[in-house]
Amino acid sequence: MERGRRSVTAARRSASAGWHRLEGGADIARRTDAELEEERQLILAAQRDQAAFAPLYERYVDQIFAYIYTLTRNRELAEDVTAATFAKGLEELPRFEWRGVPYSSWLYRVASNLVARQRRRPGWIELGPGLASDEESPLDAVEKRDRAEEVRSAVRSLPDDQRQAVALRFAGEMRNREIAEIMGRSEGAVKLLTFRALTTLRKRFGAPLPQESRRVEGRM
Amino acid sequence: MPGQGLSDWGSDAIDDVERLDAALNRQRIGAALEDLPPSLRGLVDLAVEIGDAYRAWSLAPAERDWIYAESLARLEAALQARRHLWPRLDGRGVAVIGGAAAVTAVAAAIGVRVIVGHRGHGLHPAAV
Repeated sequence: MERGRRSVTAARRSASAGWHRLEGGADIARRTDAELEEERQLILAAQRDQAAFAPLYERYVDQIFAYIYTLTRNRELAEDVTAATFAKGLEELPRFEWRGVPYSSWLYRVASNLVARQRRRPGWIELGPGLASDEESPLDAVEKRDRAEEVRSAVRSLPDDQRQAVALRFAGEMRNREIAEIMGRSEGAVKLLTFRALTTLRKRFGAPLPQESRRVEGRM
Repeated sequence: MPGQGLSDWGSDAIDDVERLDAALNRQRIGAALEDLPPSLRGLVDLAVEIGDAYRAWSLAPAERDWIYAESLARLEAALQARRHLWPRLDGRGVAVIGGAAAVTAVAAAIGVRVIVGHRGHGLHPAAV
């Protein structure tokens, strides 16, 4: 375990190097073929030696945790489920087959299943977005002033399905088909959830909705 | 919401849902969005902001290390449990295979005796 801890610390510096920003002002990140190949090599290395899993962990732990936290709204539970997700990742790694999609897709699927399993347990109590006690740490209080935290907090306030769809699409950068598979819904339902979530958030941030602005545009 | 699909919506709303989805996909690959109405453009911008907000977020180093250590501990526990289970299964497996082999051997021996006996005595009357 100590060995693993040292490995993860050593891997931290290069961990987020796998994201590529599009040129021309577009901000949504995507993977290049070279980055996918690099990831394939990381997986092969980790399959040969468990200690080499650390770079994969470093690459994905933040986004997987953020996704789980978005779903659970409970930091402690999110830590546990994140640990369980990566434990499963390590356990299944020898049988993992590369299919040309980011390893994160598989991790999101495992995380979704584990959260769903937690939800079915009798003791599951979901804190409201404003009631989560772990949000009150001094660090979070400072961070809350940040627009990014405001946005994430707004996403956490969405209904279950909407926040899962939004987190998978914009944080996980998954396609509708993958999201539909994970959520057990149709692609059309995923599109609708995404639309509803964005219009709700847009309204919350004080901007006009598409229908409203169309009415305004129609009057002009 | 559960079970509700696009067909339950009016055509204007469906149009918006589909146009937004197409715009998000175009945004994803860096294509231009000039023809998009400002209202939908605002939703795309918000989507970009959500993605950025999530990418900007990270765990504290101690929390990250704790989760990794916990992952390894859980993996070890799972492997221990499996090791605990397999010897018992292995033992049963060996017993089953050994038993089957013994039965087969006995059956084969009986078969050989029957065949030999049949060949040796079947065509001729037994000597008295």
